[in-house]
Amino acid sequence: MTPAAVPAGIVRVPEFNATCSYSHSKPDDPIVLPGLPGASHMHSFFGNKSTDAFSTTQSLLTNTPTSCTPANDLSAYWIPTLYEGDKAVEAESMIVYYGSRLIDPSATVPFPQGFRMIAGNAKTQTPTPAGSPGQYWCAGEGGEIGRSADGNWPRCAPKAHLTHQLVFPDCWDGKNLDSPDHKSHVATTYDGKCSGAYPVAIPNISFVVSYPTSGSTAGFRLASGMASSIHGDFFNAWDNAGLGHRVKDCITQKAKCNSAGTF
Amino acid sequence: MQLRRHLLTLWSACAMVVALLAVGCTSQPTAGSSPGPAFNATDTAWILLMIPMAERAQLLTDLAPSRTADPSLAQLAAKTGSTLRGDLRRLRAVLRLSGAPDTHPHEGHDMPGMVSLGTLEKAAATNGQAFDRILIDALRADFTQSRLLCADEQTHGQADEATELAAAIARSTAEQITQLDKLRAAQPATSGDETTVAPGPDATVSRTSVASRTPAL
Repeated sequence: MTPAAVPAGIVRVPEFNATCSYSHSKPDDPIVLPGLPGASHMHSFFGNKSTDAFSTTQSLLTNTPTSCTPANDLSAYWIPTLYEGDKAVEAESMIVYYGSRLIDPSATVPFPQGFRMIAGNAKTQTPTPAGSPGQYWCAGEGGEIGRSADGNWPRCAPKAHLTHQLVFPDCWDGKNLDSPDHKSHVATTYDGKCSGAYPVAIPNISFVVSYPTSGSTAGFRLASGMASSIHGDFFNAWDNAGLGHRVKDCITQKAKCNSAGTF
Repeated sequence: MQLRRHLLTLWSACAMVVALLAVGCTSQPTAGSSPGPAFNATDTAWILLMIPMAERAQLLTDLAPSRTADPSLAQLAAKTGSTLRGDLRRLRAVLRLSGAPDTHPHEGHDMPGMVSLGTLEKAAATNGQAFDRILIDALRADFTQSRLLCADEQTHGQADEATELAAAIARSTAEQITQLDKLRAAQPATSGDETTVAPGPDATVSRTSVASRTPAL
């Protein structure tokens, strides 16, 4: 596969994306609780519109409606549902960024279909005061103007919206599509390389989720509990060629692509 | 995809080996007998959710003797507690049989239907009718979810040991729901706010009066 030529003026960062709108919500989790509909806390699903407790790689690949662009990304992405009081607040968008934090991104290879992983930890129930790692923040004019009464959530200026970025691991053991805790087959790099038990560089995924709310002193809660319990699930069902091209053109060459996978 | 076929075959092979070992230890091999189906992901997920649910429910029923004013409810709580202990023993045994690691996926976390940490706190801080209402509502929610999960497991699970346990738990849960609903119907109507009594001298007094009113069981 010859990488596409990069025109002048393109931002030279390794990156492509899937831009998604909210699809549907269910108390289902095909990774953690497969075959057990209703067993999970509420999840907000993005991407493949068929995602539920029974989803498999095959079912995702054969059910083509998706809330993401491009249309050949049939992956399922999900996060715990956000609530303000008793009301669910669904995201206005989830942009899934695929990038690289490696010193040498050219080592990056695409994930196989059926590969899945979880980032974050639904069990973590700890305070997240301002400045906490992995915190929610305010994107837009005016930014953060205060905190919720419990200190765990930001309050945003009227034109700024609650936002969160969840970063996934960058390195894979190269053998297992999954692991019993859905995390042990991947690892995060701290030295810009993938080595040892996790030698395979995979695109570094981030979910950037934006909510149509500026928050209040009442704060929020997640279906999984406190803000600290934020987590995300990725179940890969990209078209192999589409994903392959993007990894070649945008990641290995360090060139920022749009959701069509072009410059 | 070669990689995927290899990986999934490896997983099934491991599960099969575990199942074979289990059958070999517990039954006389007869001519033509074959091992039961291997544990699938639904089996494992079901077991790993049922265990913390039973543990939490048991924490609640353990509070009943010192907090309920209602002898029938105390009796139901005791019976439920003992059923839960039995369920936990069998769930842990099936987990060992499956060879799956206990990754504690739901530890410290409130899942739908599960007796929540907040509920346990509230229950521990009340007694009398206020406690009874919490106990009844929380147990019913737990039983209802338990029944749903067991039905799902019987339909989508694979290993006989797991699906049979799910059937057994579903049966006993259905009975417990019936008993609970009878008690709930006999409860006095809600009168105003729940009184929350912090642990202290008052709680001791209540325990004494419960003991004096409770006939020998």
